Amino acid sequence: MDNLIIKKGQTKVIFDNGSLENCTFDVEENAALTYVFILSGGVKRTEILVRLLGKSSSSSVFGIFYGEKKDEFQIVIRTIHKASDSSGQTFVKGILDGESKCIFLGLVDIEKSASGSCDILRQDTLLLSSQSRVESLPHMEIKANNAIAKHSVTSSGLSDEQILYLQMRGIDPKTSRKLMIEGFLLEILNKLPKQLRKNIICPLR
Amino acid sequence: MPRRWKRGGMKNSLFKAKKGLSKRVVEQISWHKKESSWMRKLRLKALGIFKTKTVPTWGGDLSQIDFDDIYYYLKPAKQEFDSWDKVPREIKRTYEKLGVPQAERGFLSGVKAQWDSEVVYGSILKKLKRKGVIFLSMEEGVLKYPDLVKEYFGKIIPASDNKFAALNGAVWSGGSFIYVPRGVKVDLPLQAYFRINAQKIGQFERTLIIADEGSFVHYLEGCTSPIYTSNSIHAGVVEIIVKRNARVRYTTIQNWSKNVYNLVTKRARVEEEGIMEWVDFNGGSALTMKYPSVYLVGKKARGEVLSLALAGANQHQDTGGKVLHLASETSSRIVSKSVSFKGGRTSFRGLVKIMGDATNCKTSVVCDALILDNLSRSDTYPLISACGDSNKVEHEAFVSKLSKEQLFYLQSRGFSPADSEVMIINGFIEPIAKEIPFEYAIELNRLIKLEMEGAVG
Repeated sequence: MDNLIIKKGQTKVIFDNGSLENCTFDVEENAALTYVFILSGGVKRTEILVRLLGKSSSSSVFGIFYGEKKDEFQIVIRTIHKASDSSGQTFVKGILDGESKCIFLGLVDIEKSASGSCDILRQDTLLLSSQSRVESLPHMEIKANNAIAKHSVTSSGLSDEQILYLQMRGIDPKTSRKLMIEGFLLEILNKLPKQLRKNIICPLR
Repeated sequence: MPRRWKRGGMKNSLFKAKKGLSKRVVEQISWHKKESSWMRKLRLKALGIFKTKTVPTWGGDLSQIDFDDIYYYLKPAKQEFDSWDKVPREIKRTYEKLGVPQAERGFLSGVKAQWDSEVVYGSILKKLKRKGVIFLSMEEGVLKYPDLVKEYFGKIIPASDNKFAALNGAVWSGGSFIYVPRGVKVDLPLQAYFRINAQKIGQFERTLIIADEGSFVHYLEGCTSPIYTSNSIHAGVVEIIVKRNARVRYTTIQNWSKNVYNLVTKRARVEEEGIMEWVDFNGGSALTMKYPSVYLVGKKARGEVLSLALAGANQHQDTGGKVLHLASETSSRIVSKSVSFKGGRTSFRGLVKIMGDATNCKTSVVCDALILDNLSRSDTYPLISACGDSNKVEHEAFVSKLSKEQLFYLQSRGFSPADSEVMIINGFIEPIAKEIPFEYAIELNRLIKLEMEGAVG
């Protein structure tokens, strides 16, 4: 269990490709945390706890997972707002193929002391096979009234209409599938800090 | 608070079982209802299950319930209060503010004798009878149609489902039994108080609705006026069977007095191309734990849960919905709206599961919450489980407060702050309120205005 403190006014970007298994981040006043993780291959578990302790602190957690064969992932992301005007963002996208499984548990907790806070949690899964499975539990506990919290979860396969459309434009089925998967991931890749984008090799093809 | 009512209610009852739950009490209930042995056996079996089950530790706080301090059966007297004057002032005041018709007021407070409603609704019942619709109290159903009841009773929600379903199985009384024959469409919503000999809505009511192939029925329970009860626990069970191509809509308007634990189990089984719709409003009670569920067992079946919760001071509304997709091409929708104020707490607990071999299913879950002050709280606990690339799942939740801009806009148009709040809240709940029959929707709006008085400073 690692415990990292983002000191007052600091900005920290952390990239994790599976080395940190569970981690607690304490974010102090005016500090900002960006945490990016990638999960793939095997049975893995990631547990992240972000505590926004200082006024105007902010956190962004981005995650990408790719599962194939019998991979199993468990992702737990908790954001606890303890100070006023704190903002949090969690965005996780994943692709599941074969017989892979993923359980996603996200908790947004806005305590009474955290008035003026906002948090958005989003998790999208693309299922590529009929045996892949995803279970999402996006929880929210809002105790302050001057707060905004949103979460959304989706899961679906590739749309047949869109594949047909691409084929009509002369792109073969395999490439169109690839294009669509890339498009699915592009949404999150575009949000990542520039220096990190290079590090992320899309586990496609 | 309800001390006074407690005494008032007890005095007039004809028979009351001993406090607490025992084999003897269950047998007494069965004897009073002149049941045959199969039902008595079912009750005793449920009692056994009740004793082995533990109280759920999740959700609301249930530790205050003392199962030995409850009267499980009161054979209701004809009237709860001898005259209108004896009805508690608070209740009367609410009726007046809500604008409940005088006739209904009398019925709700138990002042009025039953035969009045018989006269009014007698013609409707005759019409139904001609169509072959069976609409009876559950007790009459057991006596008159034992075969039909035996086939379905406790099949959708067995006593072993949870502690409160077991409790209901042991001591149930009241509730409706409805059978709609093949192809019959009942155009008027059926209401509990249409029924001849309908007694006051019970604490342990049991409702069974069977909609045969291609039929339609809308059942409505409850009313917007506060229903007060001497008992502190309400554990109902509602089972619905929607056969091929049939459609059932079940509307609940719950406004129990604020000392009641409302722990209801509701479930529907939907066969091929059937449609089940739950419209659920929860405004009363101290704690409500209710998750109407739909099991989609037939191809192309559809389920809908529209849930609306209002939690004021000392209230916890733990509501939501459950949908299980067990067959292909099924679709579902859960829409939940909640408002918490004056220290109230609302929780949304939803479950959507698409089973392994179901393909081409679609589901969407939307839940919105409004928190009006900093004493109140709102939680969301959904579980969404999907399998396979042909299914489409969407879930979305949003928690916020009233927008200052909107309030300011309305105020600049000459509305008072209180009116603008109520207006925004009514707009917020509109998507669900419009599904409730018109006359009740109007009352609902009034009720919200009443409850909200001074909610936001």
